[in-house]
Amino acid sequence: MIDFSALVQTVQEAVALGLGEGAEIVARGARQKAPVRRIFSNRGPVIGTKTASEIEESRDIRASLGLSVEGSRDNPSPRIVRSRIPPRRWMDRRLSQANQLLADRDAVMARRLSGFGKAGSPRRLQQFHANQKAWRTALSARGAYEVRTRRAVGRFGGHRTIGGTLRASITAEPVTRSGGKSVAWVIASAEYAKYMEFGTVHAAAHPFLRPAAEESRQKVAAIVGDQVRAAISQARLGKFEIEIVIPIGVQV
Amino acid sequence: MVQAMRASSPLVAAIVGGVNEGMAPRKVRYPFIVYQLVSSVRERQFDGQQIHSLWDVSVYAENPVDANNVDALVNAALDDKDLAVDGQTTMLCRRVTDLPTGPDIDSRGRRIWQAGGSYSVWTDLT
Repeated sequence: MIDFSALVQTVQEAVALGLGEGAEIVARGARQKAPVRRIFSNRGPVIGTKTASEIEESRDIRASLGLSVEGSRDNPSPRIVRSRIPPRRWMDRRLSQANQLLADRDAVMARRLSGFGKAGSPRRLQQFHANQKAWRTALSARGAYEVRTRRAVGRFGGHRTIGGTLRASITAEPVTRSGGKSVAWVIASAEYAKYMEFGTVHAAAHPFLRPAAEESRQKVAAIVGDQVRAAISQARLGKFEIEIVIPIGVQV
Repeated sequence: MVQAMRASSPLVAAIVGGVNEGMAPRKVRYPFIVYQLVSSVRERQFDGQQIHSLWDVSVYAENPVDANNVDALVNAALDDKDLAVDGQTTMLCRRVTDLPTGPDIDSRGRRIWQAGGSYSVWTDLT
């Protein structure tokens, strides 16, 4: 005698478990596909107009290009330095660089507001111009505007970041069950997410959620299937043939 | 898809601004259609492979009635129709969702309405 209520309960729990895992996969895919606004300049105005010999002679340009600060003439045989700190990815480096810029800007603005030092003192003016120069070389014109106005500033994992607001806003919600239906939501909570996904009359669409869902569909179905199979065999409920249908919908 | 839309004479008569891929030019006249590929997934099987693609087709018009009317004509031209795809056999072209978008303001400050849907197109490469 088969206990159908126990069977349904077991299957639903397994589906919810599998769907939750699947939603995380979709969210991960969406984060990879989410467009990131280009706020960093790849080619600084200073570097772009310099010749190889000028770069060789300029310590600042060599440093900004990530070359040896001492130059190849002074350093004919480069020494390999091994560090205990693992190399960070370029995006992390850029974010930390931009975070430093933001911190510098905060300090400048705080001093200005509190009236620290004499207004227009040469030292303060020099520091301010130095900050401006750093801003110009590290960020694109649009990026500088976005950072200055705080539009590009977001929070991700407790850290302040520049850019990636949309990416950081993508989350997989816990699976909800009502009646015989389990629903998993992957949400992009950034205000402009729907404009990126569907486009507007001003801008073309850059879909990221639906492609991630479509590409993960088979993987999610396989995960849910595995969970159901494991749950039924563990509960020793017998052999069943179950069809798994995973429709993908969109809601704004 | 564009062929199928252009083959529908009531639809061609209704869209003044034409059919545009991705984004329409700045000074295009309303109503017009914008279509875009959302995703394209290849599913390999023992005897060949299928391409499951998803397309968004949006209609922009100066009033909601026009937008919905043109959207209905697009739906009639594409939903459950056989599309001609070079080197592939079309298995289905079906509207799967409506696009949940609303009114917007265009670059000239006019209020415009958007309606549309996502179409799932399955083709077989064998």
